[in-house]
Amino acid sequence: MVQEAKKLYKTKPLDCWGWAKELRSKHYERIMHAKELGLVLSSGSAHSRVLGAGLENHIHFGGEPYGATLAQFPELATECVEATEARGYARDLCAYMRLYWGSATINKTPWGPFPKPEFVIQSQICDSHSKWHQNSSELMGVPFYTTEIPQFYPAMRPPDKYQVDYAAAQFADMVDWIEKTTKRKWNDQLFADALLRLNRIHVLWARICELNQAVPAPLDIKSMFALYWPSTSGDINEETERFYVTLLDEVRDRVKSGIAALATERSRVLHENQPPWYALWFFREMEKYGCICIGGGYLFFLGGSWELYTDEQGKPAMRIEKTIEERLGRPNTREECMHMLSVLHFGRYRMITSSDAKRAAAVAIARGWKVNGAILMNNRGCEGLSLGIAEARVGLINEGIPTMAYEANMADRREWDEAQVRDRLEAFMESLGLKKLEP
Amino acid sequence: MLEKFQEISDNRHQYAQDWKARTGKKVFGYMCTYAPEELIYAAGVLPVRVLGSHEPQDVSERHIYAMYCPFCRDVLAQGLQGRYKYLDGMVMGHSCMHIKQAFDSWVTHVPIDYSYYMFIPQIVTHPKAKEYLTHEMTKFKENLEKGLGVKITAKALDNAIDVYNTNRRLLREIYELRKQDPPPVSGSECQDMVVAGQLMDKAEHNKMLAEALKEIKSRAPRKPGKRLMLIGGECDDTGVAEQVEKLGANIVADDLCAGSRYFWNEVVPEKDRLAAIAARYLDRPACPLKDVTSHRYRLDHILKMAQDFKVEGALLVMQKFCDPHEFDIPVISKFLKEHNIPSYFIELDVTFPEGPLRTRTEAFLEMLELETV
Repeated sequence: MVQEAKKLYKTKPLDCWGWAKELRSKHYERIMHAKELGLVLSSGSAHSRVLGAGLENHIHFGGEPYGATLAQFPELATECVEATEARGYARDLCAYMRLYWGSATINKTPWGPFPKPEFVIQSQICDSHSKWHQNSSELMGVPFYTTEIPQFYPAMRPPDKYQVDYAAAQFADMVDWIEKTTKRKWNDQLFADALLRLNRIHVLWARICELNQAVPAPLDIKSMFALYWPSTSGDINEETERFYVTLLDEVRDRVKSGIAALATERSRVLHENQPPWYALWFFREMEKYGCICIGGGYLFFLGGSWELYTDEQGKPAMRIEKTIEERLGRPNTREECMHMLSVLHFGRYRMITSSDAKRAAAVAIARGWKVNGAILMNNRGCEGLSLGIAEARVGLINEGIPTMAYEANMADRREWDEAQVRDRLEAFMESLGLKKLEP
Repeated sequence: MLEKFQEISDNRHQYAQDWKARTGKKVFGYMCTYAPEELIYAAGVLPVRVLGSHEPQDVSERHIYAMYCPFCRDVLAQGLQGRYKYLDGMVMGHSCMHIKQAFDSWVTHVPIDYSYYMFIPQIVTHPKAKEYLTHEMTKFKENLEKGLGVKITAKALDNAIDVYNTNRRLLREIYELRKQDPPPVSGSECQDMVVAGQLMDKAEHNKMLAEALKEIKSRAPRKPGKRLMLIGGECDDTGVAEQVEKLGANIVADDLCAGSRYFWNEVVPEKDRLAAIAARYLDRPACPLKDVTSHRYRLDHILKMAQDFKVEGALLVMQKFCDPHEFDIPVISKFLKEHNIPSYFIELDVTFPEGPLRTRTEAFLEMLELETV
């Protein structure tokens, strides 16, 4: 059953698209040649990249974005996960981690040998993270330091002073450890600049995501996954910030001019959780029905700075946070820097560690971004983002939002059942009253 | 005497409801052995751990993704099925995201008057962890007092610490007897005692333990057999140990949360009682998520126990999809091998099939025999 593909909106490619890709390439180029470039290379989870930013010429090799990238190289990825499994690790552990460990074990990346970091640093925003990098440090024979962020419940309330202070104290200890381990001086001003810049980048990304509330949506999720990368994983530098300022302008212009990501947009869905990185065609498939995927909690929160709250109707809602500098001013001492770092961690990562926050965010996005349906990925490869995924679905159903759940693994394609997912998506599109449009 | 512990486990709901009726007091459920029971007990409330039912269920799928461990799904299912309607509250001490999910879904969907989540530091060796956890204990105490309308006095705390320490001492004394070769008590009997303790008023449990201790001391030793240790995650199904011992082995030690991890260390009294309790929870034998730094002190503890109890082989048991233990098991297996202790991995689900467990354990025991030859 097909219907005429009537183009309702004008569309055009994004001017910033190539720049986003270039930022990613440059980042990996610098990591692969860190030694020749005289850079201090740390590793750990992507969000830990700011932790070493008080060192001159520092660059961070983030485990999750690397796993997502590696997932797109089928043969090497399989070799990597199998190398990890051969060491006795279970197949249902974090897929990014299994790729990362495997890549280190066989000393191969898509671009050359595995870039051995000088040290590994970690803040615990997911229960898997410290265990991941405890093992990474043993595997690679490099020093390891972990900090942790206290979790709390319900997550919709702010953390108390003790919790913030506890995390801040650990970050301060970590700085001492970094200085001692690397025998390099920590520069508080450099760190403050990076922290404030990263936060501004997160606010910019949130503003870009907010613009996708427009009908037609100026951006589609598949493109957004490339565009959000620098904010979650890229270098924290002037160019990255400039990229987001430029992208925000471009997206604003698209909204003002009614330029759509999908010329045939007639229905909107959100997607919760990481995507199957090796099968992003999934999002193009729904576009054949005139259905655009506008984003979701994972995409919005991981790279963006949001405040979740309960509105006057008692419903979950979200708004962009002010920059940390607007809220707390510029930090002048190490103590103030660490306090700020702690506040930012609590704000941004509760979505990952709390089921109630994930449920609230899903409902808030469904309302704010005017979706007709929601697609949720039950992710076999991520313990952290599987927290609350089923409850987010219950929350959406209770709001009358039609949902579809599918099972996959964000980075291990051996667990991808294409026919089943395609069938399920087609059935869901039809249940939303959509027919496939003529090409 | 010893079979009474299993009877209580089998009739846990009846026990809790009878206790409630005869004392007129409240009963709280708790998830994970990191919940500080002493505070709940000092508030005059019976803390009861929500353990597995070991029955297949189909009600948790809507709330917890199936790749989370079967234990957390089993726990939630029992709440959703109304098996714990008598509970007046639910408390959780953070250990992992899986059980945190069960807690969230429970307090969201199962009517309950009181609930409290407490974060327990994962970097338990951090110099500021004790101060931080003391703060968490203080908040919990205040919240309990407010929620229940009671005052938790220093005297009540002292009594709770005393009752719990006595309990730990008695269990430890019983475990010490397992150093004998052959031991006078089986691993499954010991686990029955520990599991019953997680469900009972500790004062009553203490009386039963004291009697059991006398009985065990006067017993003849068990038949000689390979000395095994159970190491791993949530495993409250004492049937596992029972099956293994039916094959002629003796389980002489364990590192389980439904085993020695639950009671191994005591609260060391100090002026600030909450700080003393905090220190106990930080110092206790760790689960994998409390052992996250560059020195894996969990390994030290396991090795010491294995050596003290003259362990000849270890069964590494784990709930399917349990991420924390999946991280540690390959490391423990390698570590034990380096110390000439063979190990064998067994994955558990809500139910376990006896046949395959028997076959696999037999194979392991035969392997140990061959190693001896």
